[in-house]
Amino acid sequence: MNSHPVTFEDLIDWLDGRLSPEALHRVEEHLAAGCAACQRDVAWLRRFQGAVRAGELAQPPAALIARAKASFGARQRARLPRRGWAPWPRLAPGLAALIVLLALTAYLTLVPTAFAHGAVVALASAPAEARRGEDGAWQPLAVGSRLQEGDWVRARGGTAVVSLFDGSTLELQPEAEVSFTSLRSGLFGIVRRVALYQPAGTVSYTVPPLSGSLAAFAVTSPVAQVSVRGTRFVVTATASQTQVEVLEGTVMVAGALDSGAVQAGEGAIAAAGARLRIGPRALPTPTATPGRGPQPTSGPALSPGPGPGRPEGGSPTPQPARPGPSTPRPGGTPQASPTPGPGDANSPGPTRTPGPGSGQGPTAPGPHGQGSG
Amino acid sequence: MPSPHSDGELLAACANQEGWAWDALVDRYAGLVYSVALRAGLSQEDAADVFQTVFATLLEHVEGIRTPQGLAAWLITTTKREAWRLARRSQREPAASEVAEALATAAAWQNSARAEERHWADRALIAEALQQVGERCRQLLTLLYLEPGEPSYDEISARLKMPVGSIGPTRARCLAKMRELLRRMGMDEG
Repeated sequence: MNSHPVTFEDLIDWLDGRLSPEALHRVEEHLAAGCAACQRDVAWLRRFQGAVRAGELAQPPAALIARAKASFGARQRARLPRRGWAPWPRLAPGLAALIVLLALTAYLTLVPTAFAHGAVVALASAPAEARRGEDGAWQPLAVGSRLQEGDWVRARGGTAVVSLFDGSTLELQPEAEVSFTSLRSGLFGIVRRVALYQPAGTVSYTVPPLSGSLAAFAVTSPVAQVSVRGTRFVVTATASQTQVEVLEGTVMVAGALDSGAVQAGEGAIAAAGARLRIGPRALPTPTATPGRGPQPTSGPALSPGPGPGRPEGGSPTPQPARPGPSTPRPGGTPQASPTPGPGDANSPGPTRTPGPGSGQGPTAPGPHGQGSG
Repeated sequence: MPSPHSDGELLAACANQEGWAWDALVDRYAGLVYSVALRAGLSQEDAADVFQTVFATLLEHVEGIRTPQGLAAWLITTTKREAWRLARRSQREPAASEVAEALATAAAWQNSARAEERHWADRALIAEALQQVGERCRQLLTLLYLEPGEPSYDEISARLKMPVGSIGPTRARCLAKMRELLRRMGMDEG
């Protein structure tokens, strides 16, 4: 017989004493034969019966059970402060986005070339012209026209005033040319970079004060670079020489060989292959200091011609300024004569040459009686 | 709410901060702990204190229990220890009759403790399994094993409207289902 001779029910009845004598004999004989499965069944049934006969367990009051259950939540709440970083994983994406946003804002704010700006032609006493790029054709330019980076502008037969995005203004004298190399700023305009190229003519610049090192305003000519921090100055450029005259503030002028600070009331001449020369500028302005002595009106105190110059480092020794021919300048703009004097541009003149303390020391007196005392 | 999960599964869920598992553990073993405390001779008030202490201790160690199959035994041992501590704290000069009674209780406890503890631990699981075995089986097994007075098959047949000849086979099927439920809940076969 293939079927098991004793069922689970037989074993239950055997334990309960409900089996008939024949069934009882059959079950006991089977168990005595050592059926392992039946032994396990009997053991489990005895264990079950022992448990149920042990009596009912006393049940605690419901409030006691509820209190024990509530302790789990209380423990979790008490643990929260110790898991101080637990909320951070949920906040992490937002925090990361905020950091990225702040970093982007900081980048855009501090990088001076993040945003390109423009310039506007504010005034023109005669038609001005502009061209797009160095190879573009010159086109007539009306007042209110907008210019952008890479554009060139020139005044024809009169002056033209151009306002830049940063509040700076350029007054171009007839035939002066300027290219807008860089008209850029960072976000909010705190950091900005204005770079202009002036190959020819005379241009008066008015630059609002710049904040620290965050802003830069530079004019480059064929032979010099003028860096300013808020000032009024005039640049006259030719292919071989650039003259800078400062009306207010201080201007850094870099020539081919050296550089120096030019103060208000001073001028500088940079010539190709020559050292920079700094001295009293040619024409008085309303802000000129009377104590410096009379300024020549018939000719510049500073001329590109040679003369006995002040030694390197700004020697206090008075040296006579080298007279030179004067050239009347339109609109009262200071202008040095481009005509060379008796010497070449490299020869020492009545000026100081930049060195330690240049721009801070006494200016060399000219031949018209100005001096330090 | 009766839970079909084993003690090991419930402890793991508790360690994972799942409150339902803790509720299930308290439901499963509340009667066991309270009964052991009362059996140790404590008053209901003291048994309630011990009950709170034991479950607080379990909660404190719920993440570190490595042998969940011994949870019932651990609860019994902890309950007895707490009951003994409480009895020592509130010790006063006992009357001679109380001493005699305590000695008799302690001796009885010692003699029957192991077997009874196992029965009680099983009983805690059986109570839960009965809630899950199905209404018909629960009624039949309750009448057969838990009803005072041990009603006869005829009485059971009348109360459950079940032929007498069906009682035996039905009981066998219901006990087999109980066995499987208890096995899943962690009650071993030994």
